[in-house]
Amino acid sequence: MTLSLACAGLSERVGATPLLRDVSVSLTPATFSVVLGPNGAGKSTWLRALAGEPTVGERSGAVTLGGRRLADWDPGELARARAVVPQRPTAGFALAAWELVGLGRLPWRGLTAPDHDAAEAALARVGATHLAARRLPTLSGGEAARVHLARALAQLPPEGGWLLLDEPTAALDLAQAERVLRLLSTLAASGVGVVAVLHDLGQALRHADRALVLRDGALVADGAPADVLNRALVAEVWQADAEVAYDDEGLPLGVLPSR
Amino acid sequence: MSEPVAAASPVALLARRQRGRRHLVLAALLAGLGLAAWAELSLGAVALTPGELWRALSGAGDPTHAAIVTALRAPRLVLAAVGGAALAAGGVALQALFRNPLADPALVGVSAGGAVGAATATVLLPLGLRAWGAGPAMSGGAAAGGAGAAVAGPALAFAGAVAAAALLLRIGRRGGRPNVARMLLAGVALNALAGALVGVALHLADSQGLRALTGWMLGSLSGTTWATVGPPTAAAGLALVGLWRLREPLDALLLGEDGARQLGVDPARLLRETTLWVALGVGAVVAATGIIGFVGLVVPHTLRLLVGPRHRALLPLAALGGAGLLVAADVVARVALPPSELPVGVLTSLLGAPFFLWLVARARDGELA
Repeated sequence: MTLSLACAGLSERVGATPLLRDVSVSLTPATFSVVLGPNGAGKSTWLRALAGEPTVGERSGAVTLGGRRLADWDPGELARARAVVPQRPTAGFALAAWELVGLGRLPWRGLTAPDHDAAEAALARVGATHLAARRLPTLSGGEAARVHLARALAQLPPEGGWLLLDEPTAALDLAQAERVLRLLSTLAASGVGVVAVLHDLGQALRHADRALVLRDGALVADGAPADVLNRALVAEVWQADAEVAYDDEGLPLGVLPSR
Repeated sequence: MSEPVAAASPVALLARRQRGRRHLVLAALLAGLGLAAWAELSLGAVALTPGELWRALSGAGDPTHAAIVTALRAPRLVLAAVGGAALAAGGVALQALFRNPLADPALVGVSAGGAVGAATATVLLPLGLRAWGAGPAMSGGAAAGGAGAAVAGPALAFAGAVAAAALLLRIGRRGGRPNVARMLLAGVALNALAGALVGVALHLADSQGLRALTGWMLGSLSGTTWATVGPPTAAAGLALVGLWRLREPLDALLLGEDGARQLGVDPARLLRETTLWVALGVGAVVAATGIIGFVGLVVPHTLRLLVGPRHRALLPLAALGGAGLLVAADVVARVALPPSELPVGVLTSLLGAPFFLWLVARARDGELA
C-alpha cells in the first residue's frame, strides 16, 4: 500500500525572495498529478521539497509521507519509497545504460531477488531495452531521458511508491513525450503516485488526473486538468491570452496562444 | 516471435559479460603482480635464478642470497605493493568525489600535503627541538628521536594529507558541486605551497635530512627495511578496508550529490569519510616513500574502461593493479641504470605525465570546466 504524500504550510525563501508561499497539498497515490505554472513559479522548488531535498534558503512547514515527516524517515527506507528524476540528471564516468539503471537498485541491495530483472523490466517499460549496452554520453537527449526514467523506475517498490519528475518531457520529441506520458499514466493506474512538473498544458490536459497550478510560489488552482485549465486561469496565471482547443468529442487537445 | 533468447534478457547478458571481463582482468593483474614480485626479488646487482630464489626464500641456500632477498628486497616489495594499492584506490575514491578521472592524489596536492607533514616530523621538528634546548639529551636522544620520528612521520603525513584534501574539497567543490578546473588549480597551488615548505626544510636540513627530503620530493623506495614497512602497511590496509566499505555509497555518487541522496546516501558524510580514508592511505604511504605520482591516475582510468565504474570491482582491481604497477616500476628503477638507482617516482611520472596529457587533450570542453 503506497503511503500518501502531503505538505502543509510549506514556505521557502532565499534571502528576502519567497520561493514558496504557504503551500498545503495532500497527494493521493495511484494518481498522475502535474505541477504547472510559468517560469519561476516555484515548481521545481516545490518538487525538491516533496523529494526531501535540502534547500539553499530557509524552509518552513512540513512534508510528510505516510503522516511522518521526511526528515524522520531513515534515508534508506525513504529511498525505497520514492524515486526522483531531476531536470538535468548527472551520470559520471560514461556509465552504460544498464549500469545506470542498476544504480536504482542500490537501496534494495540484499533485500530482493536479482537486480538484473528489475533493471531489465525498467528498461523495457521505457522502451529502451535496445539501448542497454550503450554508454550515456553516446545517447541522444531523449534516449538519455528515458534511461534516467528507467533508473527511477528500477528504484520503485513493488507496491507502487512515489515517482517525482522535473520536466520529464523537456528533452523528448512529440512521439517520445507522448509515450513517456502514457507510461506515467499507466504507472499511476497501477498504484504509483506520479508527480511531474510539466510546461506543456496540452500534455497535462491529455494525460494527467490532477493539475496543481503554482504562481509566484503560491498554489492558485488544484483539480482535474479539464476543470482547472480554463481560459480565465490561463490568462491570469500565464498572463497570456490563450484558448483551449477541443476535439470533436469535447475532449481538451491543448492550450493554444491566441493571435 | 523469433526474438533470440539472449536479446530478451540483455541486462543479464551484459552483466555476465562484464563479470567475465572482470575475472579476466583479475587473472591478468594477479599474473602481472606475481611476475613483478618475482622480478623484484630476483633482479638487481645480485641476480638470482629461480632456483636460487627458491632456496633463499626457504632458507636453504647461500646466506648472502637469503639476506639480500629477505632483508633488502622483500620489504621493498611489500612497501611497493602496499603503496601502489593505496595510491590507486585513493585515486579511485578521489575521482568518485570529483566525478572526473583527473583527480590523482599526487596531482591534486594530497600527496604533497603528506610530504609536508613528513618533512615537518623528520626535519623541522627535530631542528625545532634542538633549538628549544633539547640539546642535553642529544647523544642518547638520537635513537629516541628516531623512534619518535617513526611515529610522528606517518602521523603528521596523515595530518598534512587530511589538511590538503579538506582544502581541495572545499575549493574544488564550491556550492556542493565538483568543479574540475577549480580542483586542478587548487592542486597546482597546493603542490606549489608544499614545494615551498619542503624547500624551507631543505634549506635548513643537514645532509641526512637532505637525502630524506630529496627522496620525498622524487618518490623513492630505497632504504626500505622491515621496520619502515609496518606503519604504512597497517594504515594503508585500514584505508583500503574503509574505502571498500563505502563502495555502494560511492556508486550512488555517480548520480551526483542529489542523486546519491535520493538513493539514501548522505553525501556530506560520504565526502568526509572518503576524504579521511584517502588521506590516511596516501599520507601513510607518502611518509614512507615520498610523492609517487600518476599511479592513482593511470590505473583507475584504465581499469574503469575495462570493468566499468562500479566500485565493488573497481576498488579491489585498482588496488591490485596499483600494486603490480609500482612493484614493476621499482624493478625498472633498480635495474635500469646500474649501479645507481632511479627514484621510482621519476619513473611513474615518465609513464604517467604523457598519459595525463593525453587525457586532457581528448577531454571534451565540458569535462574540464
